[in-house]
Amino acid sequence: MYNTVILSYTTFGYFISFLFYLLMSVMKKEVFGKIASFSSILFFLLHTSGIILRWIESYKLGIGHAPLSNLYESLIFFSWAIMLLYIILELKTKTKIFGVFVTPLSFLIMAYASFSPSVTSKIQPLIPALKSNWLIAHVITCFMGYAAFGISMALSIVYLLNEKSRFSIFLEELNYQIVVIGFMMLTLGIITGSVWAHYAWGSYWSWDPKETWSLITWLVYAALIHSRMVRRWRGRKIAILSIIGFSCVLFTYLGVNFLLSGLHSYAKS
Amino acid sequence: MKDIWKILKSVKLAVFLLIILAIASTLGTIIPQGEEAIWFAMKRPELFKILHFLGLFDLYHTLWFRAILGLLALNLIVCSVDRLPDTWKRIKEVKEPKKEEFRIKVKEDFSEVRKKIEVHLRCRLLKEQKDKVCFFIEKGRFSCFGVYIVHFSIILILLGGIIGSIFGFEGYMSILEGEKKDTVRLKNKKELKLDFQVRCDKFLVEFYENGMPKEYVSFLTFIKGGKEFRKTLKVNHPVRFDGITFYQASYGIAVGDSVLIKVLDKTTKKEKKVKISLGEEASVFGIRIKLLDIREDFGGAGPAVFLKLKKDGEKRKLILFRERKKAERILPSEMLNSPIFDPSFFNYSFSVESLETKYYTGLQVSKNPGVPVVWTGFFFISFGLILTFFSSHRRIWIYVRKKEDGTEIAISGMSNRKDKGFLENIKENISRICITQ
Repeated sequence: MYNTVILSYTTFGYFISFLFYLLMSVMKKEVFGKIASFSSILFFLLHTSGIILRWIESYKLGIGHAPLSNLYESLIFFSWAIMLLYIILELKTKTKIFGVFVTPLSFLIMAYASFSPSVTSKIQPLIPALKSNWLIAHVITCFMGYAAFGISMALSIVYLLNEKSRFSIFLEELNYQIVVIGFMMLTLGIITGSVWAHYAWGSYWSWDPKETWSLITWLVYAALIHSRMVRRWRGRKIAILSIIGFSCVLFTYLGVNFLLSGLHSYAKS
Repeated sequence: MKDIWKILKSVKLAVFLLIILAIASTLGTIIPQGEEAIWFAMKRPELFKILHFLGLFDLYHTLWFRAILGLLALNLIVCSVDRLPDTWKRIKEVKEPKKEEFRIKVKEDFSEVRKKIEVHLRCRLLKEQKDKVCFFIEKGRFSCFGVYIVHFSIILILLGGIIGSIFGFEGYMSILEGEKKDTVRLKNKKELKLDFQVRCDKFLVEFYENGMPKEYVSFLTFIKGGKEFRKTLKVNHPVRFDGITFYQASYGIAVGDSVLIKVLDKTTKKEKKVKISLGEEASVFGIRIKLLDIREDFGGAGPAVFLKLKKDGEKRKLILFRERKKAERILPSEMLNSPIFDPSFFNYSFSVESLETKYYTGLQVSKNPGVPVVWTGFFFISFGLILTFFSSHRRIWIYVRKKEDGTEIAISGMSNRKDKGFLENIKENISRICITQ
């Protein structure tokens, strides 16, 4: 499988990007930042080609489906979504410092997908429950949301480290905008999941642990948005809420599969 | 009364309720819910009693959990009722801001500039005096209503849930191939009689080459008023009949209540077949065979029958697989070599000649008139969120004033968001259509 080879190169690529972002922030030299950005974009493109190749290879195996169906594929897509949003953010804000916290996140996710013995990288056919057009809409919206929340967490860490600098107001505002994008995506993710569940299992909401945890995550971010919009909370409190929110995301995504039982049992395969 | 209103309209209460709901929901994922609670009752009977009293084993359906949801709904309604008039007023009245953000000097003549701006920027004339005019542009008026739409949608979704739980039902029915049924086993263990019958003509499982399931298909016939309606049911493709929806939920293998046993005399090579029903006895070659049990599956090796053999005062039990070869592949040989699996008795050898199995299909059956309401809520919450977060209500005033050496254009603007970028855009537009100094 060429796609898994390409994707494991990408893993190292993101680590290299991380090293250069780190050098940039420690040595305060712009040239490292440029190398880091270049490497991020280069390996993001490699990552994209890996996903496309995996899609093509699945058709060659005669079980063609979008590469969004098991834990391995979801991790790869999660990391891809984080890098996509990050690169857009870097180009728009012309600020590279978040890279120090975002690239290790993508690297760790890719490394977990590529090297953990419990995650199989095999292209598997779809079981009947997954054969639905809602699968693609559900996975894309959810993971775009997760990715935005991941970046918000990175921004929150940068914020907490630079609380007193002039930079912090800009960070605060940016962080909130990213949370809002994540919230929109998570809402769409829950909606598409719910509609899908209605067609697949006959119930749009059954308090399955995965569903419940996605709702918990949604409630935490809803609380964050209300606190900021109406109660005028700013800064540290919002950053901490965002970090709590992202830990809920991680629990929804991975914790539920490994610690609780339910319908979304891809972790077992 | 006033105090209660004040609490109900507070966002503090909303945030508090969101957090409480999050915590309560977390509890429900840690504490086993529904039937899974049984092992808990056996392990910790004392703790079980307390938690059971609090309804923690069916947390999401308890009165107190619903009360929190109800309170949140009330909070949303009160907040909206309290704030909507203000929002309405803010949108209705157009107050010119005192501060002008930009001033641009233009060479062209006053009337020329005036015409250009009116045509290119598509704005409305607000005030007109002899040598000065004021234009007005307004965009995204509905942005302010986004929040109300989102909150209204949440009420709608909760309402849909209530409608579903009052007027709908959720149940399960399992039908053997060839069997007809008209009763649904509801979640609360009661039975519901349908006013039509469902027959499962055939059930099919398809597998991929690697053994993973590919498709589950039930071929169903609905019978109502002497008429038959055939439908094919697959996972993700529910079937609707008479307002009730059927979903492919599970399947299984069922065995009949009799088996045909073949007995071979090893010396004479003579064989005899005998049909035995469950619990009955038969006699072949002077051996009395009693059929104790038929299992759909034994140790993953497929169907098996439990026999009791008796001859000349000697007795023994025998577990006979339908497919001995499959059992040899799957089960360890030490196990199969033990006497209970040994198909030989005296000089006779036993095997299963035929053991009929049938599939049964497991159908999730539901009627939920709340679904369209929930779907409407889903649509509007998405729409409302986009309005709230990704659109903004912007007002722009453009003043055009006649000056001695040309024309002066001044711009002031307002937005419900803190973005000033749109004013820069306007400035750019103006400098593109007019010749600036």
